[in-house]
Amino acid sequence: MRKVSLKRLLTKLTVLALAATPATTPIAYADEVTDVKLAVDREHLNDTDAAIVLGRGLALALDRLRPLEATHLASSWALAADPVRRGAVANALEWMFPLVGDALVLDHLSRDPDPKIRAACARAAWVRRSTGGDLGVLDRLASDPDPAVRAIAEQAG
Amino acid sequence: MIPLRRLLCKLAVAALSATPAAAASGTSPFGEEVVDLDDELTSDAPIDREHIEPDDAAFVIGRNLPLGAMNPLSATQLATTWALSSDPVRRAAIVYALEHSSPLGARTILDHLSQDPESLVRAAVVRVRGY
Repeated sequence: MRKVSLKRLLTKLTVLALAATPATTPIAYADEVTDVKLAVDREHLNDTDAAIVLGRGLALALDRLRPLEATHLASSWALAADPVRRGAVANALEWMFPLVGDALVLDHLSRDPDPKIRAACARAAWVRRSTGGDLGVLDRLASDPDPAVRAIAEQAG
Repeated sequence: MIPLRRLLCKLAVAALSATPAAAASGTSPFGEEVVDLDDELTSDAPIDREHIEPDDAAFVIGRNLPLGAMNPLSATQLATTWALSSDPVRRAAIVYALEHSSPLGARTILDHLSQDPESLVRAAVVRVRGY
């Protein structure tokens, strides 16, 4: 499987965030950032830390991109086979910024087999509840089989 | 480049894979129905429309895009991918597809494409919106 290094992906996300303004024309970023078939080489980091670091970079980029590009990027990563990319989206949504389709992405990821991703979804749904970002995710995760996920959802409720 | 006929065949297969019988035999890891979307549907390869006019090709493709049969996030992902495509036929096709199904983000896509540099795409938006 082809891979992209975490450092390279973070650099690309930073460039994306810095280059994107509402007035600019669509950015050609269809490389390692949107090619979700590339697995993330997280080097010495574990999955959770890699997803948190990438999530912060992704949040900055999503906040600066035009709505359509942001939705495309978030949905592509949410559907990725690599759990690091999926976890990064869930972690990114814990930061507050507008995203068309955020509730749909959270609803999808809240059914992820990885409990760490579901836990990040619970936190993100909590943050985004006031802006309509929770389509019943917290209610569902309050009865999650994983105790850590359940605790976050119950605390939010 | 992908021939129009091949693309339409793939869309037909994708639509058939979303029928209840097919969906029962194939579910995603999250238990959702699976529409078989291969690389040629989700890539940005230009469409070889042969002798067909661009608007007609876009209309036919758009009418056959099974957005309504897909799980909502996949539909949104496919629609945004096509809306950001460099091929104007794909961009116009997604506009026509949105006439019959509205995945989340449809309004954003139409707003975005209403300012498209290609008149083919802008005309499709006007036809679908009615203004």
